[in-house]
Amino acid sequence: MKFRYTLLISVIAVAVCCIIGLLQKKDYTNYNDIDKPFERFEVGVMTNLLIDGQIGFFEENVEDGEEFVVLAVECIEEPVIRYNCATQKVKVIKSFRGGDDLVGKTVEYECSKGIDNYSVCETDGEMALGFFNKMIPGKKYLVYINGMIKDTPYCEDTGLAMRWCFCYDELPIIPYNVNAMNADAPYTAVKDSEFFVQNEEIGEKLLQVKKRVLNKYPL
Amino acid sequence: MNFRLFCAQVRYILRKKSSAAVIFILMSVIIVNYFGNLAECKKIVEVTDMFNPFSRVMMSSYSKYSSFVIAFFPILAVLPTATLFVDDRNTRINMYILGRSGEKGYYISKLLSIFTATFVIFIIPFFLEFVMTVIAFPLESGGMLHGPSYTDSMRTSNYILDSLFWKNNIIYALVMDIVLALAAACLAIFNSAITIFPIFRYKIFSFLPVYVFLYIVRVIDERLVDAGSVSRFDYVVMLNLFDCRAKDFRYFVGMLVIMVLISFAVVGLYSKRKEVVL
Repeated sequence: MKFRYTLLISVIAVAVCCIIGLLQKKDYTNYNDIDKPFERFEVGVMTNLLIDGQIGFFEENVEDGEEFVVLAVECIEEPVIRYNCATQKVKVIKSFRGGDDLVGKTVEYECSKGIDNYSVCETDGEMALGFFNKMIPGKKYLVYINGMIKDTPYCEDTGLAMRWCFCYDELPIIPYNVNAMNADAPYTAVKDSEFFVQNEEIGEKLLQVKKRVLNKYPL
Repeated sequence: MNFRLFCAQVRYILRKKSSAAVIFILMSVIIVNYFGNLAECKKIVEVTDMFNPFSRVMMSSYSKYSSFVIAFFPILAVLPTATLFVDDRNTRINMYILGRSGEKGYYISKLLSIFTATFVIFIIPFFLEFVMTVIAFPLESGGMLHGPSYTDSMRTSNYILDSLFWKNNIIYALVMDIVLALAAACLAIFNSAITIFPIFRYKIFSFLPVYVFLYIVRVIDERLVDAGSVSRFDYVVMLNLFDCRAKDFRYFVGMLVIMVLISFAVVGLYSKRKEVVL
């Protein structure tokens, strides 16, 4: 059989497949192409039950924990939603503990480590933001990370339930009253809040931690 | 080496029915796999929830068909060229070519044409699959089966050249297609070089050398070196893209290079011995 016929048949088959694929591709949706995709999700809210344990754990193990890298970063852009997570580009301004080689570099910070699109709720699903809001581009934050993922510009997540990340500016705290059956809030209700909290008392406790930590690690 | 003889032999191999058969077998599996992936994407719809399109190509461990293709990979690699020396001997056409180009020229050009033709036979389906993947699937999708999220997959991946994959998965896919086609070419050249000896009188036995060799190195890999904890020579692990088992790809590349060197050494010694006899 002439080789060119083999090639021709293969190319025609591939062209047909590509046309079918392209026709289907038009129907796909992409959160990154729409305006404010986070507003389609629900986020977890910190409740009275959990807050004391979480702050206690932070003070004992994280705040001065040698295994965590503490960085001051400047947020560069809005988050990009990826497969089951969301990352934000940040520029490392200062290193307080570990990560000296990262200063001046642009890295990807994981602001959500879980997106569940299959939950039964009025929104598109649930997004795990670790009880702290995503970063606002242009603002400076203090973040805790677990180093970098090898050979990549992606920060290694701390693996903690709370994503400890404090803005150097003062941001509002908007409580959202959740109940025992559902501890989630629509993101639209808390989108301007720095922390996602059930009431002002929890917000105040987190503010105390923020003040203490930012005094310890000034810009 | 006679370049015209080399080109003529490449053309001869590419025109063989077995070459077309290998291309059509690979293309059939690629197309079936492609429609399976399209159906899955149709169900998901949201791009950020989809798998990375290159992670489901035919040779990926996440493809339903990869085990089938990997199992038959050595035979597909040698199918178009395994019987070349046996055919030449049986039809005595080698006497005619030998008379025109000399022993060494004939054997060396034959080996090089086998390498080139096998590379072409394999790179065509792989490249067409690459084109289909780039055109038909959203490239920003990042799901991998071994990790619950994009960053988790990055953390736990242990692929061949995985740092390249996370930097640029398009270049990674292209590089791996070339690596797979080169691996096929190395297997084909080795198999053909062994069949140069007259003991391979029957065609059916000319497919065996590569299997015997791969079986021996696999046994060595499993039994002698680290009791199989790190794969070094096992083609099933090495040719399976996105396989996360512990492996050292350098040994496998070394093995392929040694196979090529052995092939040329065997052919060189054989042609020298025949020249002495003549």
